[in-house]
Amino acid sequence: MSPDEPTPDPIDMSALGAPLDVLRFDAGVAAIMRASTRELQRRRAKPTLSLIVVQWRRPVLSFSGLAAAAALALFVVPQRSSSSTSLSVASAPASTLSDSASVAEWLGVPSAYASVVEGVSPAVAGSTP
Amino acid sequence: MTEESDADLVARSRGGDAAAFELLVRRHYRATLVVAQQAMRDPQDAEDITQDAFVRALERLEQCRDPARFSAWLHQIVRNVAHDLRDKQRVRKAEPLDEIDPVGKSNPARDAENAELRVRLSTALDQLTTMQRAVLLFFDRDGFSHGEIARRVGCSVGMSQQHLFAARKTMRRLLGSSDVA
Repeated sequence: MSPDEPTPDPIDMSALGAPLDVLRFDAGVAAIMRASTRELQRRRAKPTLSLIVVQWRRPVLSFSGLAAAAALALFVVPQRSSSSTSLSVASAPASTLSDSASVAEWLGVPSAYASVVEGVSPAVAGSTP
Repeated sequence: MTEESDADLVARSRGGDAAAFELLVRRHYRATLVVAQQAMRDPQDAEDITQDAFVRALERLEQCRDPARFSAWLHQIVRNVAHDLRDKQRVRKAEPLDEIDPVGKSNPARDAENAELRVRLSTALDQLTTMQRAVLLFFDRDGFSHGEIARRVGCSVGMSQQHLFAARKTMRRLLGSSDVA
């Protein structure tokens, strides 16, 4: 806005609807502020412990659900693998036994302990041709 | 007096700052009313949905992803509120007889021309900044003085004059023809 530049003419905006007077504008703003009081107070309020719990309810429940699912999976998978290993020990050839040994290794269980858990002594397991 | 940006005011409003929210309302009220008036025939309905839209906007302020473009987000809320109200009115009652244009009073050609002009004006207004839009509407449409505008939208009289100058210049460039002279 340079001082030499003439001010552009007013824009005719009558097509946009009725004009607004100062009083109606102020009344409109006041009505909005009255209606917003509660929400503004809620936003100003410091979060209490119960509010935090309520706000974090969903993420906490989701995380708990995931943790429970993961724990269940860890519990069920070794159960299944150990039961299948026991069956294989009773009737399986040596190759299956070596597979069960590798499962124990994969789980990080030393082979000596693994055979105790399986109920088969290393000597028995090793004696099968 | 420095002017706070919409983004700053939105951030403060999120924390429950009533003064910031009031300034946001003051700056956007006029342009929001224009959007509401386009959506609703009854001026009282337009004012009601404008107020309702501001309250809804405050309640959902976290959903405003780009606070610098608060007005576009707010105007969408206004259109949604207007849509809801029209649906309710349609269900509640049939159109009253006194609202139907009497024979010979309506002028389709003039109505179409006005509608086109409204769209052009609204599109051009959307290109202005929040302050330019508010000042232009208050000054050229409502006849507020620069002092009245400055007090209401939180700027100096000098800044109000500058915003008006810039707004008119931009509008003239965007509208081009002499329809609005």
